[in-house]
Amino acid sequence: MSFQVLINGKPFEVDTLRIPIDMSLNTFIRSVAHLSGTKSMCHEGGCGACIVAVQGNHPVTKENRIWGVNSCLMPIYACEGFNVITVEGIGDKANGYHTAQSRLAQMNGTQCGFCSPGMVMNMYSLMEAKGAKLTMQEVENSFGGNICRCTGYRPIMDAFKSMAMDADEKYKLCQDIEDFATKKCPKTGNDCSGSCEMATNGGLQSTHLTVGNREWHKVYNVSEISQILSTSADKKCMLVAGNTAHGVYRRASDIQVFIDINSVEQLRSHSIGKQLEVGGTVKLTEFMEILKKAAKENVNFSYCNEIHSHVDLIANVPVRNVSL
Amino acid sequence: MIKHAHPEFPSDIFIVLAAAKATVSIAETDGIIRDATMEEFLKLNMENKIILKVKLPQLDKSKFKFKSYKIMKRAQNTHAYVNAGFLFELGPDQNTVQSANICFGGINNKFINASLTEKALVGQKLFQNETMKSVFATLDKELNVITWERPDADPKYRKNLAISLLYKAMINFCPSKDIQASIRSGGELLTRPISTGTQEFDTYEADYPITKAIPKYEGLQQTAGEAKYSNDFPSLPGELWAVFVQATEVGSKIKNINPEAALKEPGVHGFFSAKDVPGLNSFTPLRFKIFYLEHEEIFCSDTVLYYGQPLGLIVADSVNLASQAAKLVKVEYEKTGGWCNFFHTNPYINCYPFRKQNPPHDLGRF
Repeated sequence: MSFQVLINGKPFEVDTLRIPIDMSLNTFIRSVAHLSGTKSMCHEGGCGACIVAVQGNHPVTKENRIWGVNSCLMPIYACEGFNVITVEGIGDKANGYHTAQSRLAQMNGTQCGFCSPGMVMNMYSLMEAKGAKLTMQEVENSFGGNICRCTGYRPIMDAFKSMAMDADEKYKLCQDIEDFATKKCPKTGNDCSGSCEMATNGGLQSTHLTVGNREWHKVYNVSEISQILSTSADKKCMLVAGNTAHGVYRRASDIQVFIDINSVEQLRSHSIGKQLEVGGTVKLTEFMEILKKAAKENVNFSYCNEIHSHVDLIANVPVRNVSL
Repeated sequence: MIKHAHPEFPSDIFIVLAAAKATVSIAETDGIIRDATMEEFLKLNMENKIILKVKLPQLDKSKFKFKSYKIMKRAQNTHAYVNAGFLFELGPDQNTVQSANICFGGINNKFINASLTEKALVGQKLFQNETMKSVFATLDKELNVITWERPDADPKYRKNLAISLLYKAMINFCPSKDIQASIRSGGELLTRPISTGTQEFDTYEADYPITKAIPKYEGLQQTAGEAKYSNDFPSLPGELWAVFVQATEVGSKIKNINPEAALKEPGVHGFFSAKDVPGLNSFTPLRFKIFYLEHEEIFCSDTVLYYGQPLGLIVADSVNLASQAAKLVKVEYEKTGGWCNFFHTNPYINCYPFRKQNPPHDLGRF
């Protein structure tokens, strides 16, 4: 049995006979896809060296989005249907560098360079998520999960803030030739048209994989979760959403059944009415947006602005992008 | 769910939801759905259950005051020392407390609501010095249940922090006309403006290319992930990984090291410690006397000088296997006593007994 995951648009087979069920996306990128630009360090989602961007469809809105994740905490089996974008995928010597790459180098943001790909991918994910509206304040507030131990953060933040819409004029003078490089499609070799069809499994068909003596299920509704839980009553099960708790308390090594619940629409929905109802797997980043929206729509939810500021202090952006 | 599995975890989500009186809808495998308060949720057996959603109530803005705080080691990306959420329902006079919900995290593994303090507040006028004084005294007593598990911060500090946060919220809720100007700003959190920095260097055009600024040669390769680090090269046939076994009992002597359990693991190839080092067990080249004053051991052979000092090395097929196996090495220590006894009349000698055998070099000699 196998399924496909795209890395920089290129398909890779995840074969249940070869790939262990607990392999991280990071290990897959580095040791199977042999892309060494993505680093690995703390394995806790705390240092940011392993950040990559993930492109996929939102299970409720079906909107195609890009968000940054710590690849060390992301199980490769949870990546079905995603296009994973690594630092190699946004720019290189042959095709021209991405602004985030060239600007960081140009403004002296590297010393040993080990944190740089993670910094770049965090910036790239922010740019993709917020578009042209990205502000200096947002940039400065979004690198809490990227650790640099040598250059210092000032030149790094200067470089990335220079790309914000409200950047100082003196920074805007730093436009360089690389800014005009366009992305090449890894499949066709032509310029990226931005309308790539995502690999999907063609609908909401749940997947059940057996990997050795362990199982991986990707499900689409709550009754399927209940069904698997009751048929696996004698086995140790885990519901997989962000897997970020693994960064705080390591996951037990004897879990036999993994149930990926990220695509369960009911759990990813929300509604603002008499009450503010937020599904169980709504990501913290989405939760923050929902809180802001609720506070704006109804004065009796204005306290949600307070909660919004508090959630902003939890972990860091790539963790909040996947955790609940 | 982290909070459910590890109640000592100072969960921010839990504390803000508890303070806002949110509820969770929980589904069982048989389809029954029921709502639970955050406190009830912690006590439920969550096996084979799913959290469907979290429900936040509407809070009438003219009555309710809500505030939450997180105080942590750094500005971002770390757990709270103490976090807090406060919800006050005030009467039509905007002062008399109808109900109070005061929640703290980071106190101990059970503490959520400061119930005694909440009770004491009901019916009182909130913005009154007498109320404040008595409330803080009640809270001070109530928080005596605080526990200390390292690496948490000192309990005295955390307790004071919790009380200060309630004070901070009260200043924030209080209409500004009723509060002294000098303490008004205490109700707000410090706001960080966008940071700035400048760097200056001298450059002399006459001397160019000397002193001319140029971009770092390998900068682009680094930012694009093209630069190769030692871990980025493909593995070689027969490649092994080594992980240090580290000492934990500072000041004790190592009596015996038994790697047997580790060596039994399939894929573990060896264990090396001080006795396996050929020649001198030291990594300090003493011929460079400016930098290196005394021998420092590669592997600790006697008294443990610091937490985490390497005492051996496990070699195995993979880094994960080596890390796991390193934990299986059994080390017996012998307590030496007197270590770090700062109350001794001559603390320095007592604190560093190894220096007695190994006096520091006289810096004046070279």
